[in-house]
Amino acid sequence: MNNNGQASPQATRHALIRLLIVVAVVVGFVFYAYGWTVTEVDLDKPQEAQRQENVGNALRELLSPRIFSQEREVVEITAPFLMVCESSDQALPESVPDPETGGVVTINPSCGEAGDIIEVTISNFSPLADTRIRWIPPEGQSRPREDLITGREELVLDSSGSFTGQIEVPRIRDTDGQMHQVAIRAAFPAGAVELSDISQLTVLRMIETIFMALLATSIAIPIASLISFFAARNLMRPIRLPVGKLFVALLFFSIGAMLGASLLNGLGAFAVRVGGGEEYGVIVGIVAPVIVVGLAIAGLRYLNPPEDKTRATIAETSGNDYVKMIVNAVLLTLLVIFAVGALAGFFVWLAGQLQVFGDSLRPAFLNALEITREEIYPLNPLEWLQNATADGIQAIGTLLHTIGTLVILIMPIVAAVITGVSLSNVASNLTTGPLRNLTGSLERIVGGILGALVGAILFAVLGFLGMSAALFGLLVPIVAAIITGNIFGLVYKQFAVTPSKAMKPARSQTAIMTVLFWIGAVLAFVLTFNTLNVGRAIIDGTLPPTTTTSILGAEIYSYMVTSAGIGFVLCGIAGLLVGTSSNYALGSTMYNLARTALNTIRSIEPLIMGLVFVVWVGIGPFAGVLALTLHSIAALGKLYSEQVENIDAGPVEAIQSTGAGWLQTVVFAVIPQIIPPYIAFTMYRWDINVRMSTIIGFVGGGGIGLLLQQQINLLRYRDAGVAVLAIAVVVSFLDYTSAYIREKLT
Amino acid sequence: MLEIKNLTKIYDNGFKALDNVSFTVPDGQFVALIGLSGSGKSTLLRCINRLIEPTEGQIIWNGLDITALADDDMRLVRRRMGMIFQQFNLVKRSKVITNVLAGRLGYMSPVYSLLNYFPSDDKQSALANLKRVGIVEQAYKRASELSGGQQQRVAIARALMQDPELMLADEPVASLDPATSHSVMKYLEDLNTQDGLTIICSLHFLSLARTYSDRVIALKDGKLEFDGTPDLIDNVRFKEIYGEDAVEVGIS
Repeated sequence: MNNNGQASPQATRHALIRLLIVVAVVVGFVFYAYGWTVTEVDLDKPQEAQRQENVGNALRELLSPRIFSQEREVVEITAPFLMVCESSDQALPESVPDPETGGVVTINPSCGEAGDIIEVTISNFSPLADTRIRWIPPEGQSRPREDLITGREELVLDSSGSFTGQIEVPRIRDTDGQMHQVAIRAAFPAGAVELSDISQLTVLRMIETIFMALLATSIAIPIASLISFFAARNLMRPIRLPVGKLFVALLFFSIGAMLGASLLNGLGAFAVRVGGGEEYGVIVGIVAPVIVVGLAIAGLRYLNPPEDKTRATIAETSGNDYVKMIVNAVLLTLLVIFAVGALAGFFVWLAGQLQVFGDSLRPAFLNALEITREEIYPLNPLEWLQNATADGIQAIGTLLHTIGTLVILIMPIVAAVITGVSLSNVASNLTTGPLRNLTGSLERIVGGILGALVGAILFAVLGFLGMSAALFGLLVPIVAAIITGNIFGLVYKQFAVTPSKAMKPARSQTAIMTVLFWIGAVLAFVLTFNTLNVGRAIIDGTLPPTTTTSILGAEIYSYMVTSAGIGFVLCGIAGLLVGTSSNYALGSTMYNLARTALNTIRSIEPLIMGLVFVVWVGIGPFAGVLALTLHSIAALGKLYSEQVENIDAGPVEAIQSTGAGWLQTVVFAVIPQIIPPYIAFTMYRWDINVRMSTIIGFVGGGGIGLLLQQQINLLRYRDAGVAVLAIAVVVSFLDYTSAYIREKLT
Repeated sequence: MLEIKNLTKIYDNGFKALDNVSFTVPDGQFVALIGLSGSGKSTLLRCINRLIEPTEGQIIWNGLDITALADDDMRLVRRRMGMIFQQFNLVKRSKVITNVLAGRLGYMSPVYSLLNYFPSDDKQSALANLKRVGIVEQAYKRASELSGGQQQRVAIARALMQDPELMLADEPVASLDPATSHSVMKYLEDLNTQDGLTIICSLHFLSLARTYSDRVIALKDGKLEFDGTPDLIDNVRFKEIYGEDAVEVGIS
């Protein structure tokens, strides 16, 4: 009885599981079958005769690319034909052998009327030539006649150059009684075989394509490398910072950035003018950047000795050190901004000089013509060399000009970032000692004040972003939700969880904390969502309505003020709860941000990015380069970061145990290990980028894709075939090369 | 002097690797740390230089409570603690001399090391230290080209660059053959007797501990099982440390 009682529920369970599996299979099958309907799979379509013929023609032309072309010489032999027999007293014409080729064409009968079928006999003519029959009326256009026996216009002559066929006499008004001609036209290849126009165009576009890929990859490499360190869990997880230090750093970065943008931007602009020779002439423009860079390096070396053997702890830092630190930061900030600006100015000046110098090298007649680089003129080798050198020099000039202009454009940002970084560095170093000595409620209060200030700034920035698009409006509610959830958890921890580190919190306590987190998060999300009227923005697609308020003389959107207020309160409370000395896992936050950004960008196909960039910078390769660069940064960043995560942890541990800092550990233990995989993945990415850039032209991104799309739209499949062939050759060549190099590296 | 007080380490997965371990090491002692795999030897060594954060307890070194130090202060303390590892942990693609110079990183300003700059004094002492461990002629080879014993000697040279007072050695000879093992242990012994370095060295073979150490500390399941001079470990003690089935094997 007991046995049965236990066995029967088990049997029921097994039966249930079986039933569930059957149901799952049936549901899965229905689901799959629905997929066929959705995707409109229709096996009748490919069998239709018309479609088969179309695809056959298209394929045949695609597979017969017009790579080469050759001039043709046309030879014609004729036989006379009288329209309507006996309509005139003329004698019936007779055909004679062509004096040049010796070919004879006879027609039988040699008179008749429209619609008659006449026999055409060719003998002693060229068997290899592309031969056709044309009807030449006494006046007007000649017209093609097809051979009624084979049904084709092209004639196939046998090996002795003979052919017999039939044609129909065409109906041509008002030509009765006149003499017509039946012409046999043969086109002989003559002259040199050369690359067709489309091939030459394809080569030019292919070069453009390869350079697009090269540029996109090379710009992406440094940016992706930098990001990859932030997206590597093993490097980021150990990074922790006392909350107080983080708050001070953020606060003073913001202050420094504002000061830098408003005060030091002028210095940057001045440096640009000096470097460009506009302020004190060309000589100063060349010398000043060199002197300033030299000064910066010398000052750095003097103020920052390479080694520091004395200090045992940070707390031993003396007042003298602090003065040194401040002087160091001020000097460095000014010098770096000046040097960057002056170099940018100098670059732009140099670019102009290179342009002039390049023109002076060019053969004189080319300068006079003012031709573009695209046009090809027959040049002798010396002239070609001069022209190519000039092109090269001017290309360098253009690059320098671009870099210089870019730096000048972002000078306010450069000044803001440099000043922000130095100020935050100095401030966090100066406050390390005092913050560490805070205890008890004082520590909490300072944490609260700093938190409130930082929160206000952070949320003001988020609010500003939120005004740019409806979805960004969700940023403030989401961040507020995360912070509030953590505050709820912290409050609970403060009162309920045992203080001992060695005791793991009980499972029930963890569960309560999770629940509290979600309660707090949802509450904060709903509240901020409503306060900031984000729903309105999402429904209407317009930016949330806002007015400006005047604070401290500056006009600020009240939307930003509201969100700053939310940040002030939330981060203030959070600061009060955690104090200044507990550690914040800054690395994990940065890791999550970097990973999220990389994954989001990577999920957007370059073609879609290309659409946006075409709107921004217009149709052409530049848009393609931008789209590919952005996508490559995300893709390479992900690949690189995975390589960083796969490194041998031993050397990292060893370098850390010597007392090295994070940056030193990266430089000495991580970078040497990741160079081979980085090169391998860069090659792989270049390979992908060439493939991508062949199609980015479909959305206007330039390169060979644009050419291919044009030819396909014009139904010129033979020309499209050349582009397809070129893509296949280049892509497979790169595929093999990159595979070979990768194999050699690993 | 190094004082370990009630040191406990519980990993995130709940595993208790160290359980209330306390002992004191006077300056200049050669301490061998023995115990089965997983008994907590590596965790203990890494807690001392805080490559692993202890959960509870204190480590007091020359009067400074290093468990309470902030991360950047801890880096300054680590400079005087050399460490060598079972897998040598050299950067294999870098040159030997670069690996040795890396021992100086704790003293260097990060900006200079970003540019791979080292003062010439440091380069001189790197060569001197390589000479001391007998492989100065390999200085400009890649670390991966060296044999295991040579790599461990490079690791010792790297640790020496730190100008250490304390040397932590985590199974330094476990990947080496017996002859090479003795040569590496002799270098450690030399550092102990000539330079007066305190050495804490975890070992698999009790025979090595008997030959080279002044004192043996045995761990079992994270607890301190034995603490005394090597000659005190008789067969009974041995079985207490390593379990009933264990038989002592020597390394010659």
